[in-house]
Amino acid sequence: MRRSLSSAIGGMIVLALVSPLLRAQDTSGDYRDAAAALKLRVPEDPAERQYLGIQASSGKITLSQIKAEGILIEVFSMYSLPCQRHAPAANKLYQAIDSRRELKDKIRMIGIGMGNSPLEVEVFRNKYSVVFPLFDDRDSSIAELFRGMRTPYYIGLRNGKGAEPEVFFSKPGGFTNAEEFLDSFVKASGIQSGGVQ
Amino acid sequence: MKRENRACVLCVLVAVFWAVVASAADAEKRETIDIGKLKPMDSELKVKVGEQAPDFTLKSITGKAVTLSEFREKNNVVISFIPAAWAAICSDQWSGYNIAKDIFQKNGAVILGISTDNLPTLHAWVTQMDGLWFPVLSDFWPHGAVAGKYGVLRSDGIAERAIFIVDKKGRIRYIGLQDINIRPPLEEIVKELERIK
Repeated sequence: MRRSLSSAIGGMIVLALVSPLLRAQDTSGDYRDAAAALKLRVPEDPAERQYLGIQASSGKITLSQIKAEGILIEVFSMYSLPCQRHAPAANKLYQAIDSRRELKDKIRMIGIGMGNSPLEVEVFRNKYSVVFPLFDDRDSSIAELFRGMRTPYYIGLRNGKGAEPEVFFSKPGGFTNAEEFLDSFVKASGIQSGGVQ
Repeated sequence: MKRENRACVLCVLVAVFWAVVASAADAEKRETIDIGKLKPMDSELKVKVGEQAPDFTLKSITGKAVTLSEFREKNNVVISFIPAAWAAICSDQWSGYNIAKDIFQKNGAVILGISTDNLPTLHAWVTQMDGLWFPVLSDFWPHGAVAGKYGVLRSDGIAERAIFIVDKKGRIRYIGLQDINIRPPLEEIVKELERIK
């Protein structure tokens, strides 16, 4: 009797210790399928089409049509205060990619304004001088796909293994150090160590 | 105290400690409250497009009284009624307008943000948003009097999510009254401002 009571108490202690850790775990798996199914409107700006290596000049593209080994997506909303606060850090991340010779031509970074109209994306672009391509969600199809997502949210995809890009990185929230974030992205992708693994 | 009892007390203390730690971490992540889905509309409009906008004077969070007719012959006025401070959609809506300042100013427009919350609540909320460029006015007492004049006071004492655009002659040029659960489209407001500029 005494032994079973002790076991029960022990179990409760373990549960009490572990439960908050379980709650704090990353739920990154939730949007992987949705990310793989993303379709984006072809940018009007020829310079953005060139950056992404897109041949088409209208319609929608899948992420596999972006010519890069790795694709880094920031999902944001012009209306989200956390995204507004995070915008300078996102710009630093793009600059960090651009400044590393070994990554510059391998990774493409884009932003997707979840639920945002073209005007709303334009407001965000102008306010924060965003230099990487931003896509709108004028028909709310992306908001539907990412239902419940809290922005900012980062997704990493890797092209090259199959017909569809593989989602290898999916993380809610922003970051404070762009270089460290890029390092973790590159490590997860395997890109730096001689291309796609 | 028996050994089992001591273990029980220890177990409860550990569980409480971790619950507090976990909820504090969650609270840090959430600066706004999801108030759930509300009845889309719960009031009867008392004004029409083309009519003179009912004048009002309300106190702003800076302590200054703001009167609608002060803007006559000077600015178009976008009156933005929102349901509640700290509510997620309201926070998004005004955070978005905050970075769209250039568009409103380019069209000779000012925003008057109105809520039926009291001044201290509005002050705390706007401070947490790092401030807003437009006046935030409290329609707390007599409770919802201005919202009532326009016919956007709901039966539970909060205002509808409504936009009224008032031109420089004080006439109502646009009424955007829609589902309280949905953010008003920025495009529509800007289109109307460009039309009456």
